[in-house]
Amino acid sequence: MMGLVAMMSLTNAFAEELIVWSRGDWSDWMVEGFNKKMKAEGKDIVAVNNLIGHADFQIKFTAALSAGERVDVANIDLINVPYYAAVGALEDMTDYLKEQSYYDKLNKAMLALGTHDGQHFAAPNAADVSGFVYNKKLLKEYGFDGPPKNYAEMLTMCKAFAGKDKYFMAWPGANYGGMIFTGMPMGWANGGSWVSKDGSKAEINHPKTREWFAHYVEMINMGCVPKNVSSWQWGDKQDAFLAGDVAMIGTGNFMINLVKEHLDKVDPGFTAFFSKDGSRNSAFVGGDLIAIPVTTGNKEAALEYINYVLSPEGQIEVYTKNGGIPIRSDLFDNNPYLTEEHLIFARASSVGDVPYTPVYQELMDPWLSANQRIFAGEDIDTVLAEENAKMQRVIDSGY
Amino acid sequence: MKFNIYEKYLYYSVAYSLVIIAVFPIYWTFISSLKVPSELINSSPTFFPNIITFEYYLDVWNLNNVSQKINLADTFWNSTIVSLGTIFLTIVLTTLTGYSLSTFSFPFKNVIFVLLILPILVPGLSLVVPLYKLLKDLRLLDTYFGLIFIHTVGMLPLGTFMMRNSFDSIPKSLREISILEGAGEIKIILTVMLPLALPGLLTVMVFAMYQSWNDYLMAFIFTNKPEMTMLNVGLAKIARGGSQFEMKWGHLTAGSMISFIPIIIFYTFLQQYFVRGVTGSAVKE
Amino acid sequence: MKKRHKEILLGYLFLLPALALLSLFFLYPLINVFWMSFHKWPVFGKPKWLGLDNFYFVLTEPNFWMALKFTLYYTLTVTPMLFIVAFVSALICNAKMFGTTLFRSMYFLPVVMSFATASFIWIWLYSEMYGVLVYLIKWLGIVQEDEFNVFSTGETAMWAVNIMVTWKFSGIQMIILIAGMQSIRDDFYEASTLMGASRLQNIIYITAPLLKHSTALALVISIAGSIQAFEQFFIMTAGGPANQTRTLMMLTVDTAFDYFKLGPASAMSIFIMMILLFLTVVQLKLFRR
Repeated sequence: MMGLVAMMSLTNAFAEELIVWSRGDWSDWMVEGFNKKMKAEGKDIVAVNNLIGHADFQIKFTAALSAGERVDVANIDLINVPYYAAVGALEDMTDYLKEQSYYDKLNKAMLALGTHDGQHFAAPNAADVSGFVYNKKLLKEYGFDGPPKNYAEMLTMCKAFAGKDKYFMAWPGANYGGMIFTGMPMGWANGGSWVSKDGSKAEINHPKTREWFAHYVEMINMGCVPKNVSSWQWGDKQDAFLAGDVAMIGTGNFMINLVKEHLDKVDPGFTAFFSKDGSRNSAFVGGDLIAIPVTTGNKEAALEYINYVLSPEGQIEVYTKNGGIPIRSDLFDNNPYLTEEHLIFARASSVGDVPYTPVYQELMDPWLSANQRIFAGEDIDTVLAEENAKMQRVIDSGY
Repeated sequence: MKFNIYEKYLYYSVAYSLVIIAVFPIYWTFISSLKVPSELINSSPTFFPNIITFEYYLDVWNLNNVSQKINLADTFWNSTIVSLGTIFLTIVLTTLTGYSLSTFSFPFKNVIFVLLILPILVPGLSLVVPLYKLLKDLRLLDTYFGLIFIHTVGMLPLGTFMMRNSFDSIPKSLREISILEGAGEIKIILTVMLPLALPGLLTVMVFAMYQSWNDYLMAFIFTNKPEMTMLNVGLAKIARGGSQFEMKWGHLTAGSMISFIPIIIFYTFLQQYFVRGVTGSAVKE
Repeated sequence: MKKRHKEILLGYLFLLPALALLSLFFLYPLINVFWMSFHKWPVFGKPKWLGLDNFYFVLTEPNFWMALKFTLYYTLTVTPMLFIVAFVSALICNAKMFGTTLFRSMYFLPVVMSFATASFIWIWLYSEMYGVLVYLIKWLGIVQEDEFNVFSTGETAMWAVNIMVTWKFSGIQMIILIAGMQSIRDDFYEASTLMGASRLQNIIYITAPLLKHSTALALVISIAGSIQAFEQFFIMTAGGPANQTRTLMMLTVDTAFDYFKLGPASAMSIFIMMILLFLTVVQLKLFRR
């Protein structure tokens, strides 16, 4: 095995090595595709992928940055990018992006997160979009032909499920990531807000956000949602849905593939989050942005890689083929790998949102607290006022 | 002392209860690795699979689940190398220091002893940021040595303490006799002291292996290249799957069983040696 | 060379390798952390001298006290659990009965399992709807409600983790105690029995006192480990619900790597070290008697 390692470093010894740090599995194929293209074009660049993985990426990346370690390209969880941009850890790519023909087709929500003081420091890379998944089989059992499209329909369905064997809905009240990924979009669709566009004001006590919270609490009280949903984790609600015990849950586009292993219990359908009257949709547009840390050794080669990632080949042949949603709206049509289900998420991503703030992680504390307290039965207005004030304090004390 | 019938009954009920408690989660892991997905994710769990499937094992073994360049067997091998290295280095270093502190007298002895114990008071994670820079500058990132050094430093407190105690309990006369016979210090250690300090030494060895093998965070932080992934990190990656929202139970349990079996074999052999060491060679007047 | 000088030289020489390793990979980073704790230290960019500001910040941060309280509570509950199980296991393995080798192997098995596996397995066992342990608990009637989530309250979550930790780590404490028990001479027991003592009295009056040093060692290691607890809670509860099971180390890691506040995080680390130092000194003093 040591010999293999030695050999591998030998073959790369003469090519310019590009160090890529990634979070998702598909990155191996992306790097492979890139290397093939470089070889075909006679360019002497070879990318090496370090798949760090989602769970602990932050620890590693932060340690690496503060040690000044050379990283040429980094796929960073988009909600952390505002901080890195603000402290000057990323290279400016405004000119490069503006030159591209597809510049205005890039996902707006994601691009906004990579922007600081009007300059672009990161580009959209891979999108994880949220939406509802529902069990057609289970809904039919209780007399419904399709998913709910507005609050009124949700209440009707809730009544039908109340007190019976199965649940209508469940959500991960104890999981802040889960709630902002699959809960808050309902608030956004409704016209509510989490923080202001520039991240300077906390706004979870927005009346339209409150409306969504109240609606969900109503469903718990009606009995079609588990009473202890305020302590449910992501895995709890996902496992419950896949076993056929819950009719509808919030989820992400990854579910399209995941549910295929459970078709004996679930006949899946997907739909976007909606406002009270059903007229507007939204989603949490999560995922990665791709950026060039200032510790890079070769900015040009890094831009080549980014170019590939954003190209039709990168987005379609690698990314969408492996189940992702392209981050360019001009690649939605004529995309052989985008199924109907994927398109639901893709379209939602164009109207979706994601909060911009350099102190995102710290805000998760009050956000989680708000969710748990509200779903455990505390008075909504009191909780929202208190937790919003906490969030504001965090924002004000800076990063 | 002979046991009466009641005591025997009590003894064995407690003993076997503990065995069941100890073994059940492992048994559960094993049968879970053989269940089909629908039986695995089910509100009425079965204690023995209705249908047996090897799909997880095939997946984990054939597919390179950890990354495209490395599979579970390689991570197992990596962890083994680091553990063996840690054991070896720990034994050498703590024997030397334990012996020195026990046998010789020199100024600042107590200060040095305290310094060696200090790591137990400092959580390793706190040092991560400066350590990362240090390892990077020394080019020790992504190397076996990097992790071996870090694991060994973590073992210095306990190791030094145990070895010093072990050597303390050996009568000084033995050493003096050997010196009179003309033996050098190293020879004395190797031929006289170590055999007598075997229980302590074996304990240190067990702890060193345990600490190194079980490490997750250091291994995760200080290795970047896929080829250098350690076992724990690899298993965690397999469990979490590709997406951050998925937990692949089947693959995790299968991967765990695969990594578990060689350990059981190694451990069984070590066991016999340990028994002999603790009971056989201990100093008995 | 004079014998005296030779001894001093050898003394230092033997210590050299370990001290070199220690200085480089421990003392140097430690000094760095101290240095960082006096600065505002952004992940990228120039640090700014803050004096003791970070320390004040940490001490006035409610999250810190919450984490401290929880860590202490956890330590106080898990330490006796670990010790009692280890002690009983050691007694069983040390007895002259048939099967002790088997027992020792079995009790040590959980220690040998990789940590990642153990944590995930126990999450699985505890899973509300699909975990076997929850199923058993309901079946035995301990819990009546339909929906029982072990991780729904901080209290039950902590005990759930305590059980897992005891399962996994008591084996290693057992080893220390066995080694200690093995060094107690058989004639002590023989003499005592001849004088009419029962087995239980033997355990209380002979075994326990003579195990003082092993116990001290086991406890120091155990408590130090518990104060620094990170991985078990990180994987099993992620500090939840609502950060009720967030230990000091977890808060430190969050502060450093998620909130990007390296200065305060370093200050927190120093507080943890001070706590550990205090506890260890207290324990050693207690056992000196």
